[in-house]
This record gives sequence, C-alpha cells and structure tokens, in this order.
Amino acid sequence: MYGIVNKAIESLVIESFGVEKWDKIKESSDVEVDFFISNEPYDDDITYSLAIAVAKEMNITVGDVLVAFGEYWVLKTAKEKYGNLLEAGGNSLREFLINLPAFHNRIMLIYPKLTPPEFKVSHLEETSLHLHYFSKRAGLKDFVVGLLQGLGKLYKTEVKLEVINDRDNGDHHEIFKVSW
Amino acid sequence: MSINLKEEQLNKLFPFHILIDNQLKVKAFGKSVSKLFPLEVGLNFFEHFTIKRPEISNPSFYEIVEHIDQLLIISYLKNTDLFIRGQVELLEDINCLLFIVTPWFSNVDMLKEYNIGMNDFAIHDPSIDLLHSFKAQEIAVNDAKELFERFQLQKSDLRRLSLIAEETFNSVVVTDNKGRVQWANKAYENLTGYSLAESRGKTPGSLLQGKDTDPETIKYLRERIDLGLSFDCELINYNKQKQPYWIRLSGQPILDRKGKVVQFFAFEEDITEKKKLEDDLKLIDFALRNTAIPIYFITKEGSISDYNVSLRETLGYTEEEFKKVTLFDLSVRHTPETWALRWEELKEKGNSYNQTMLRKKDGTLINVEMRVTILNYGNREIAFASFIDITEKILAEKRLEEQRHFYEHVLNNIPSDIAVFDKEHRYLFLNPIAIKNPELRKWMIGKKDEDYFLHTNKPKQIADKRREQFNEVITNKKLIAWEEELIRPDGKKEYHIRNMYPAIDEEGNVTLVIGYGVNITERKLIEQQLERKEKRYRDLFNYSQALICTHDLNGKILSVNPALCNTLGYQSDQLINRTLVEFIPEKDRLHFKPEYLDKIATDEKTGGVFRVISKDGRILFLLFQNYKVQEFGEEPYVIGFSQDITDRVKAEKELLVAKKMTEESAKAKEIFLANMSHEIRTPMHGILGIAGLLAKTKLDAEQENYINLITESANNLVVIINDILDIEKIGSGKFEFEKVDFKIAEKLSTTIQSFQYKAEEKGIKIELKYDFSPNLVVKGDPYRLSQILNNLMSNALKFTKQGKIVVKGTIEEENEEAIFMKFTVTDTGIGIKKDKLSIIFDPFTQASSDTTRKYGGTGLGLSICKNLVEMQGGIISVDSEEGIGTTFSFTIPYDCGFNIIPNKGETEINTDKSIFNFKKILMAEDVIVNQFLARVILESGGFKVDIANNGVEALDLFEKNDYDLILMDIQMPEMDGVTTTAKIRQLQDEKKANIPIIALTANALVGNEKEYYDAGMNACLTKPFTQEKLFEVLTKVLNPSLNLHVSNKRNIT
Repeated sequence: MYGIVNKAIESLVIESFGVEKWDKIKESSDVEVDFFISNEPYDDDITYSLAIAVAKEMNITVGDVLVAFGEYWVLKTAKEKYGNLLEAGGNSLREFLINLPAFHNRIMLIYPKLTPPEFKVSHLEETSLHLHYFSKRAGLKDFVVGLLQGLGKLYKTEVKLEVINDRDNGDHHEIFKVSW
Repeated sequence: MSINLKEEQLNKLFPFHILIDNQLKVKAFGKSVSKLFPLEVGLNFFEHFTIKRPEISNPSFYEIVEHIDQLLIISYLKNTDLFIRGQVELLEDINCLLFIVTPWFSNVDMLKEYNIGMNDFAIHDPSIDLLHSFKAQEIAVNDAKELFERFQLQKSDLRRLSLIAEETFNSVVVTDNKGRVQWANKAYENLTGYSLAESRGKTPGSLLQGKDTDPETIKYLRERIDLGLSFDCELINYNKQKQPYWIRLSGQPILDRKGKVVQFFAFEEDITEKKKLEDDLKLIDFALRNTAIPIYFITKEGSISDYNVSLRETLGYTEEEFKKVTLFDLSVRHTPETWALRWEELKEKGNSYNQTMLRKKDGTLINVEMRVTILNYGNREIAFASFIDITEKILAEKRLEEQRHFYEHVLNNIPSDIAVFDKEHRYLFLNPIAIKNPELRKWMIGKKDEDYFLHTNKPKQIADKRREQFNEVITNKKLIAWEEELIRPDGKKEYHIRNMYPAIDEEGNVTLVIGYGVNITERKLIEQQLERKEKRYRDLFNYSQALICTHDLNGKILSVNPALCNTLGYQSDQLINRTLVEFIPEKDRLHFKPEYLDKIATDEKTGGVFRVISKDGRILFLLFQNYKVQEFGEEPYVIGFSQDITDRVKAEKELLVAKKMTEESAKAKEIFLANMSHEIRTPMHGILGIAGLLAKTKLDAEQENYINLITESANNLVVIINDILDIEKIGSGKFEFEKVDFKIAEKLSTTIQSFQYKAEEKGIKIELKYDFSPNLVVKGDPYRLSQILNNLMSNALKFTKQGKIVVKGTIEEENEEAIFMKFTVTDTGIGIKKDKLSIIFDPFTQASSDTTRKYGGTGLGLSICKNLVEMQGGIISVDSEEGIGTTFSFTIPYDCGFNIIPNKGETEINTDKSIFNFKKILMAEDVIVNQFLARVILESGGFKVDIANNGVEALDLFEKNDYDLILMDIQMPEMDGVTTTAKIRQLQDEKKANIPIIALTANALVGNEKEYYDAGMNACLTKPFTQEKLFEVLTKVLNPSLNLHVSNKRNIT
C-alpha cells in the first residue's frame, strides 16, 4: 500500500481526534514509521494494523473504520490532493463509475509498484449499475463501501448499495449494486 | 492500403482534430475542440491560431505542409497560455490539412477551467495520465518538503536540546546500563566539583554519596538501575569539597530498538534552595493551617477547595460536614450569579477588603472583616479569602457607642453645668444645663470663656477669674472649687459653685480639664434664711422665760439658756459639760436613770417634775417636758423645756391637805347617811311590817284609819329617806344608769296603774296617750323613767283636786341609732306662779312655804327628776298657769332596742306558794321585831322557820339541821351576814355549801349588792320589804329553773 493511504489514515485520525490520539494509536499498532511518503509503497500490514488500532482505540469495528476511511479518502484525500483530476473522472456519479475501471487501469501505469484493484461495470442502467470489484487484498470490501458512499456525497447524489456477491460468502469477487 | 475513417471514428480516435482547406479556412474539427476554442467552420485558422514551434511567421498552406513530420505546438491567439500539440498531415485527395492535436495542460486545474473530462480525450491519449503523474510527482515533492521541514525541525530541536543539556543549570549525566558515567554536562562539574574526566567510568554514587545520604534512597536507585527502570528521587549528595547539597534525581533508561537498556540518562536538579523553600513552605502551610485566622480558597464556581481548621471551627462544622459546604452556605449575600460578577470585579481590582457577615452552621451570623484576593497560577485562578471575626469587636463598639450615648445622656441630664476643656481652656464639651441654647452650645465648642463672655456681653472679670482658676488647675494638677456670684438679667443674684479638675494621663500630664458647676442659689437663699431663723431661735433661747437646756443621752448638759442659769443661780459655763444628776437631790438620784434617761431614750419624749438644787441650796420644782432629737448623722440629744413650779407645788400641797380634809368630811357624811338610812329603815321595816299585819286583823273604822295613817306616815318617811339618798348619790357622782331593752308603752301603763286607785279615791281621771306601737322597744333605764314619772304623777295627784291627769308619750325624733322620747304629765291642779317656775327644779325648793305645809314633801322630787333626765342626756321643762294646771315635759334619748325582749324573769314571775309548803328556812336576824315579822310572814306562806340571832348561831344551826334556804341579815353582832355566807360556801358538804342564801339588808347604797353577790349570796332584799316582794323573791330562788340574782332595790320606794 502506498504511503498516501497511511497518510490518509493519519490525517483522518488527527483531524478527528488530535495528534495525541494518533501517537497513541500508532504506538498501540506497533508501527514504527514516523513519516509516510505518499508515493512510497508500505507493507499492507501497516495499513491493517493502523485500522485495527483505530478500531480498538475508538471502540468501533474495523469495518466501520474502513467505511469511514473510504468516505474520507474520497471527500478529503482524493479531493484535496487530486481535486480536479478526480472530477475529470466524470460529470456525474454514473459517468464516474463507468470510468472507474479505466481510471484504475491507468493508475497501475502511474504507480508501477501498486497493485490496484480492478473494477468492472455491468448491468448499466440509467439509475443503477453493477460494480465488480476484484482485489488481491482481502478485507478491503468496507473500504470500497466507504469510497462509494463518499462518491455519492461528492456528486451530491443519494446512493444505495447492495452487496450482491461477497468473497466472504465464497463468491469469486464482490459485486455491488449501486443505485442512485 | 487506404483507410477510410468515418467522421465518428475520426472523432473517437482524435477528438481534438482540426481540418483546414488550402485557403487555411477551417473545414471541420473534433468533438472536444469547441470546449477549448469557439471555433467555427469557415474561419481563417491563422487569424485565431499561431504555430509557436517551430516558428512559422507567415504560415501558408504549403509552408505548413513542409512541417508535416514535426511536432507542432500551436497557441490560441486569444489565450496565449493555452497550447495544443500534435502533428499535421496533408490529405491530398481533398487538398486539406488535418491537424491531429491534443491540449497541453500544465496542471490538472486546467481540466476544470475548460471543463475537460476524461472522456474528452481519446483513450489512447496519455495526457490525463501525464497530469496524474505530474500530480503524483507534486505530492511526492510536497512529501519530501514536509519531511525535510520536519527533519529540520527535529534537527533544530535536537541541537537545542543538546545545548540545553550541555548548558543547563541542572546536571545531566549519561551512564552506561550499569550506572557508570559516560558523559556529564558542565553543570554536573560545577555542582559536584568533579570533572567529566574524573567521573567517567565511575558511578555517581561512589563519588557523591556521604553520611547523610539516605541508604534507603541508595537502595531504591540501585534496584531501579538493575531492573532497567526509570527512577525519581531526592537525596543528599556531597561535592568534592564534601559540602552536602540536595538534588532531585530523575533518570530513565535509554533502550535500543529491541528494548534493551543501553544507557541511563539522569537529570539532577540542585534542590537545596528548593528544599529550603519547601521547608519554608511547609512552615507557612503549617502556620496557615494552624493560624487562628480563618483562611480558605474559593473557586470561581463557589466551592471551597481548601481551608484551615480555624475557618471550620469558627463556623461550627465538623470536618466531614464541611466537605459539602460551599461559599453560598456561608455567604449571606452571594448567589452563584453574584459571585460570578464579584469574581470579575475582584479580578479587575486584584483584591478587596470589606466588612460582611457569614452564616455559621447553626444559622447564627458573625461579622467579619474579609479580605479576598484572586490568585493566578498559570491557567488556574483561585480566590484566597481570610477574615477576622469582628462580631465581638462590633458588639464592643456598639456597647462603647451605647456607653458613650449613655454617658452623654447622663452628662446631659445631670443637673449641673458640665464642661470639658482642652489644655488651652477651649471648650470640648458642654451639657445642656451649662448652655441651654443648642446653637450657642455648638458655637462654643473650640471657643474660650473669654469668647463666650464677649459674645454674650457678660462681665469680663468672671471670665478672668475662671481663667485664673483654670491655670491653677493646669499648674497644680488638683481640683479647685470656688463660688461664683452672677447677676441675672432680672437683676437677681445667682450663686454657683464651680469645680475644675484635671484629667491626667499615665505620664502625669494634664490631658483635659473637667468643669462642673451647680446652681446653689436656692441653697444659698435657704442658708441665709436659716441664718436668720437661727438667730431668731437663738434670741428665743436667750430671751425666753422658759428654762431651756439640751443634754446628751447620758445626761451631760450641752447648752443652757440664761433663764435656766438665772433660776439655778449658775453661770452657763458652770453648767455645761456637767451632768444633770449632779443637780438632783441625793434622794432622787437613784430614779434618775431608769425613770428619766432610759425613758426618754426609748419613748423619745417625757414629762414630769424634777427636784433640783439651786446654787444657794434651795430645792426647786421644775415642771419639764423634754424631747429626744435625732438628726441625720448626729448623735441624738435631748432638748428640755421646764418651768419653775416651786411656788405652785407649795400651793398644791396646801390644797391637797384641804382636799383630804374635805374628802374625809364627805366620807363621814356618806357613812352617816348610810348609817342613818340603815338605822331608820330597820325600825321602818318593823313599823310597816307590823302595821301590815295589824291591817289584816279585824279592826273598826277608827282603828283602820289609824293604821292607814301609820302606814302612810311611814311610807312618806321612806320616800324622804330615798330622796335624800338619791340627792346624795347625784351629788357624789355615784349614780348609775342601766341599759336594758324595755317596752315604753308597758312601762307607762304599769307606772300609771299604781296611781289609779288613789286617783279614783280623789275623783280624778288619769288618761294615758301615746302615738307609737305598744311593742316599741328602746334601750335605757326603765326604773329611772318610772321614778321620774312616779315623781311627776305623785306631784300631779297631790296638787290636783279635780279634773284629770293626762300622761302622754310621743316620739320626738328618730334615727338609725336613737329615739328621742318626749313625755308630758299634764294636770288640772293649782298651777305654779310664774316667778316660781325658774326655781321649781332647785333642790329643797317648793313653790311656796304654804305648799310644804299644805302638801308636805321634801322639795327634792323635781330636783331629782331634773338630774335624772339631764344625766340621761335629756331636758325637762315646766309650763304652768296658776289655777289652770301644770304640764311637765321631759325628753330622753334612748338607743334603739330589740323588738324581742330577753326574758328577764322579774316581771314574769308570779308567786307560787305551793312550792313553799314545809320548806325549812333558817333566818339570821338580830332585831327581834324583824325576827317576829319575818316568822309571821313566812309561816303564813307555809314555811317552817328557825331563827338565829347572829352569824355564829346561824352557822351552828345550819350545821346541825337541814334547810332549804337561808335569809341572811347583813349587819349582825358576832358575825355579819357576808362572813357567814362566805363560811357556808366553804363547807365540805357540797349540798350545804350550795344552799340558796337571800341577803336582807337595810343598806340602800349602791355597791353593797355587789359585795353580797361576791360573797356567794343568791338574791338581795332591801328593807323595808313587803310580804309580796319577799314571796316573789323566795319563789325565784327556790325554783331551780330560775337561778337568778334577785333584788328589790329598784322598788324600794
């Protein structure tokens, strides 16, 4: 996971609970990295440890942490750091989601050390579509949920999510039915 | 191979293409171009665009064709920042140039500026990926910058910390994990005196610990180091010069990444001063906690964060109770709202000092002087409060104020002038007695007497005198008093006594002068009057003819007046200080103390006669009246007034002799009369008794007439004797009146009845009239009324030949206590000459000498009547016309009586001869005629009679025989009746001793009867008595139910 993800977690915690809490979370996660470099890849365990430590410190589930983080990623990190580039993804949620597979494919080129997830769109309708999520990393399903909720807020569109397929249930990949 | 692309395909593959003809006019353009430029078909391309690289200054169709294989950078003339880049190709078949371009954005923000999205680019176009890469690069650069800044910051911090560690005043020591010194800073060297070189490789303890270093602390340090743990402690170290100092030692292990202790970092702070301060603080804390001044800390919210014992105890709480107490429980004025305002106020002012009240646990309030300060410790603010309980002080002040008011009130109401002056004689205080006018009084404060006298136009010399006295008080520091004479506006004099005395402080200096004055005008006038009076008394004393002296209670003479000196023939100094007893005859001296000195000391006054011896030896009689005088604060003394009665005493002595002779003569006369009465009565008793007996025998008319004459003559003689005795009794004042209840009408009726027979004989009618109830009862002497009426009736009957006699009784006046009864006896007799009316009541007087000859009588009757009436408080008068008749009127006041008359027996008792039969009577009588007479009468009644000639015989006969009754004559030879009776009453035989005894006596004088009764006699009969009277008395005495004293004395007439 690139440092930008961990930085985003740090940023979310500091913004929400202060530096001291972040120090405490970092201490409890046993992560010894003082500074995350955005374009530098880090061990995925670090991200998980941080998420787990946040969950523990805040007394919420890791899933909730990842949902919150997904939203934050879209609304704060991506919007602040990539801003207009993100908006170039589409003029509406529907357009953005259609472009999402191409977008992630491009990222793979830009961040060669990254193994970005792969998306596919099917069942395209005027007010819904099926988003297929393929990832080598397990346990980031909730992060995707958070991302999709965050996109809904970004485009000021009320979003309804339905997990149609779930790897936890033995499916090949996750399929989200996104309705708006 | 030729490829034909449809316009749609061309647009998908090259959305930013532009086609121009050989006239350089736009022929067609891609779908995304219009988002960048407002391009229209037919426009001259180069009028809107220019080829920036390679530079073509004047582009033409062919010149452009020349650049077909080159990268073209084209700029838009209207926006030189916007570039498009690509290449151009000649389409020969249509003779047009096709520009295949894509916009060149230097940053992602331009996408938004031109509303270019991902779909506006051909999929193969990497422009947007380039922008993404730029962005990633930008982020990476920013990360690098941030990291660098943080590094710089940490580097700077590290440098600063190193410097601090090196240069800090506190020792910093780095040791290895065994505690051996590896590095130390300069402060360590300064503090310990050991250089780093000296210390390196050694434990600080081996160098610095000494005798007072606490072994427990050393043990603690050793353990912590061995365990690789941090430590914090305070201990005493010794420097190289072996001087002790306190340090606070804090250390912590330095761990490697694996957590292994590699070093210790220790920080040593010299806390010697701090320790001292701490000790001082402890002392202060102790002092504050134990001070008697209540202290506490209040938070902004009003809770009490800390306090001392004094506060809690002053307010009466236990420690447990006080934990819940807040400011609002204590304060009488603060609520959370007011306290918040007060807090801000205090913050502004810094502190406050005021008086307020606090509420104790029991609800009582105390007054306090409160000091509150807001203290600021960093971010913490706290109010520090302390107070002094001034409840007592306020009370004391109040009391003082009250006392001041009290004293002022007292001073203002003391009926004396009171003024207080300062040392310069200026007025500090004046009471309203001194100066009535309040305005003037106020004006005078701070002024001097001189100012006042000038102001009020009073004589200056008085002010000068006062000033003189004032100066003397200041100089001598002693009270001065003097009298002041003032002239009032009305010209009268006024006198004041003035006093001034100094108030002196502890050092003996005069602080104030207090003046007070009393108006003594009245006293002065009284004194003057007293002086005048005293002179008068002195004159009276000196010139009085009364003999005046004073002496103390022991009889020592204190003063004498000239009259006394003259009388006794001594000079006053020869009398003063001597005792009275010295001038009293030897014979009287024994009586002097008990009968005079003691008596006057007790009774306070006494009078009598002193016999005193004058200087020439004469005995003088002084009639004295002496008084004890007791004056406050003085020894009591006696003032005596006397007069010389020596001549009078002499005369009285002579008179006494004469009086004694007179009295003896009167006594002789009385005895003579008594004897004469006795001696006449005794034969008269015989004469009348025998005549009575004779009358009961058969007689011819002549004999009967002789007997009547004898009886009448004898009765007349008895009347004469009785009248003489009454006159004598009246004259000697021995007459006594009874006070008994009796019916007036009945008395009048019975009295008249006794004259009825005689009146009828003379053919005269007697009428009785009265205007009151027959049952009217009065209290008085019925016998004397009867005696007066008898006298008047007797006279009326005597002097009336024909006609009638009217007796009338009326109530003249009546009130609650008394009834004035008027009685008149009117006859139709010869009357009395007018010139005789005035002497008619004189004794031994009759209307004419003819009267005596013609009608007989002693001339005593009316005189006795007058005396009897007047002695009962009444008056008697006479009204008469010669030849027509006479009316005697008299009035007697009687007390109101009871309507029910007690049974007196005398008038109720009838003679009952049945009880006489066979009763034995012993008669003691020395006169034979009387023995004979009595025996005949008694035996005619049925009695058996024994005669004894005297008392001795009587006793003898009585002891030998039994009798039912004894008739006892009083005057008998051998033993008189009184003695005999007394002996009988003393007999052992009770029956004999109680025998009824009736006295028979010719003694008619008052007082005799009492003697008989006292001797034990039961009844008394005065001679001469009639048979009826004797039987009546015997009936009473022999009837046991009528055990009364009986006497016939009232009926002796």
